[in-house]
Amino acid sequence: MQTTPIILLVEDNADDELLTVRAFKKSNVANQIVVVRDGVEALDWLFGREEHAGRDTTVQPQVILLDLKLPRMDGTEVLKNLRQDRRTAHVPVVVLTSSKEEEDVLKSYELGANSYVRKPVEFEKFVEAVKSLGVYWLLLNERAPIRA
Amino acid sequence: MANDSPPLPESDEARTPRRAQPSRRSPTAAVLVAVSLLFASEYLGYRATSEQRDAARAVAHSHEVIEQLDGLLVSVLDAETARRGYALTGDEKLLAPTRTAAARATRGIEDLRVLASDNPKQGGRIDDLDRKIHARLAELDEAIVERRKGFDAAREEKATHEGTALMLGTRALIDEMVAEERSLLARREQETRASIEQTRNIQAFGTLVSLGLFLLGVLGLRREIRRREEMEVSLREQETELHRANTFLDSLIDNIPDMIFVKEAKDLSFVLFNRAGEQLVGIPREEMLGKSDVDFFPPEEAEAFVAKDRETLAGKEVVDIPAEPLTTAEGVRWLHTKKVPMLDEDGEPAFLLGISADITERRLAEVELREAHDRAERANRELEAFSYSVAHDLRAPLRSIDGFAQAILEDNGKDLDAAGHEHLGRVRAAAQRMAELIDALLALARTTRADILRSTVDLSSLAQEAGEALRGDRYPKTRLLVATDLVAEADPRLLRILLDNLLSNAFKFSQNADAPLVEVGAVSPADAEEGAIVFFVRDNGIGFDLENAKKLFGAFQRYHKGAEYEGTGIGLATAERIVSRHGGRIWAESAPGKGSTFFFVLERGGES
Repeated sequence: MQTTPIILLVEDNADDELLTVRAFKKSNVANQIVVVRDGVEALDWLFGREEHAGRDTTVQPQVILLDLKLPRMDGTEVLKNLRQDRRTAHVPVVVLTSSKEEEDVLKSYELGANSYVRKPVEFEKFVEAVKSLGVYWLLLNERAPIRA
Repeated sequence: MANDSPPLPESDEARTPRRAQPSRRSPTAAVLVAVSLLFASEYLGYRATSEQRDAARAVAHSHEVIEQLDGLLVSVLDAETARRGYALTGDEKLLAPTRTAAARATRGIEDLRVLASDNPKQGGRIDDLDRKIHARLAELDEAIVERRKGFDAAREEKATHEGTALMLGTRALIDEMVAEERSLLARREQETRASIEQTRNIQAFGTLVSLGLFLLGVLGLRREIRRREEMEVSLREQETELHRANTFLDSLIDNIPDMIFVKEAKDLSFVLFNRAGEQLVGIPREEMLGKSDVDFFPPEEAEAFVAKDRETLAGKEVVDIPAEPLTTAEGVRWLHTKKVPMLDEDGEPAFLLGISADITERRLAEVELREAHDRAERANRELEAFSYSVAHDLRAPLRSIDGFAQAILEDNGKDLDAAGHEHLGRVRAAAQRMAELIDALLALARTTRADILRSTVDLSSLAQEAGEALRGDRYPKTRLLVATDLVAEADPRLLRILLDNLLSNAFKFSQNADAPLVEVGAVSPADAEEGAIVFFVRDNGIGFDLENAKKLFGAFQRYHKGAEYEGTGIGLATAERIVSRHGGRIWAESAPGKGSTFFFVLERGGES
């Protein structure tokens, strides 16, 4: 991989966004984080639509960190949509959310999430989680080959 | 209450044939025999009397004969005397008796012949006598003729001698005859006496026997009468019993709080209607008897009733109608009716019995219940949605609080003094605590929702998993001992939460012991309650005083001061809620410094 792996962070909460970015910084895993605020924008970015038109859609994120509770279109909708498009069907999605509700977990997996991680309240734990995530998804995990 | 309902069709008892009549023959026979004997002896008496009469007549007869004979003798003697007199005196006037004598003698003999006609022996003698007497009389006549010629003493003497001899002969004959008669008489008397004796004996015997039989007959009849009386009494008692039983039955039917009615099978007219039915329908039963459904209820209702009636009678089986409407004076009521065919001895339907319970209230209650259930469901769902968003939304700011406090510490920590550090530390701790509270509350709320799905759960592995997760790095010293092969019928999620709560407490409060030990196991079968397994979670920690722990399982109740041991105070409330959802029990045993054991039972089937 030539380019720095992109992490797409779909998160509406500014604080959480800040904290997540900070956590990744501390994880010492090289990455480039793209932040979108809601589900619609996430899909727009992924598919190069609307304000993100013109983006090279062959370049897909190494991993998508997806919160479930999002305005306009929530996480599960986003998941469903991006799994249906060939370009994004195999992009690893980690559902990163506060909810531990079983229904959410089950639904996420059914819709094709690769992983489900609960956001801990304690920041240190959060950092730990992010580090592990980073190490795994950015370094260890093999991406599906991209075929146009 | 007036017994105006017609009697139910005859019960089996009434139709049993009467017991056979005990024999009346013996006393009657005795009486008959007695009467016969009486008649017999009467007859004998009658015959004896006849015989006696005959005998008396014979005696009289004999006496007559004797008299006659005597008379005859006298006649002859008269004649004799007259002749002698004439012979001596020659007086013609003295001859008068001789003339009459002959006539008298002849008449006498004839009479005698008649009298003695029954006795041939006497008959012979009579002839003899006849001859002698007539000879004598002839001689006398001769003698008279001779005298007339003149008196001859010698001839007179000879005549007298002849006369005397003849007289003697005659007299002898007559004596013979008299003797004969006398002996006859004696014999007759003897016979009569014997006969009388016999008769009297027979009569006495007969009378005694007949009296005896009569007495027997009377006794027998008396016994019979007494028996009849007793039968009458018992019959009357039976009647009273029957009447009482009938009255009781009628009262029973009338007092049953459900409507009971009976219809004729032929035309479905009412023959019985109990008080409850009267009150339900609002029509006095006198008006209902003899009429049928069509006379009282709207056509569609009546049609439905009739259809079910016919179904019952045709099928000859009980028909259950869970709910049917009935228009009464107070509006429509709903009934749960059972219709029962009553068959006669040939198995053909004779009557239809109906029993109706008024379920109007119950129906209304059911409708209300369903509505309440729906409302509760809706409320539950709303609560679920609410708690879900609460959890999610509440946690996010906490994360910010903790995260940015940490950021300050990391980025600007060197600019902060010790106090500053401490403050930030408390901020973070508070945020952490709040997160725990939220989690605990969510868990508690989750346990009260519906859908407790029981399955066979390997409690041993669940406990091991939970225990290890909880021990983690926080309680490195603590030993965890989970018994093997623990199995429970429970909802696995809730069971996990239960174990989490109990184990978390166990670890927490035993962490300061010298050799902290947390155990999970089950009580040995001997101590177990019937059928249910008693599990326990035990620690050798600081324990608590049971006396002061009344509200141990209440939410937010904390036994230890917050500073010593952190905790939300919700854990045990949640545990209690889970256990009772499973229909079980949870209790604790502990003493200060002696550790604690929490026991719980889950199996009781069904939820609370």
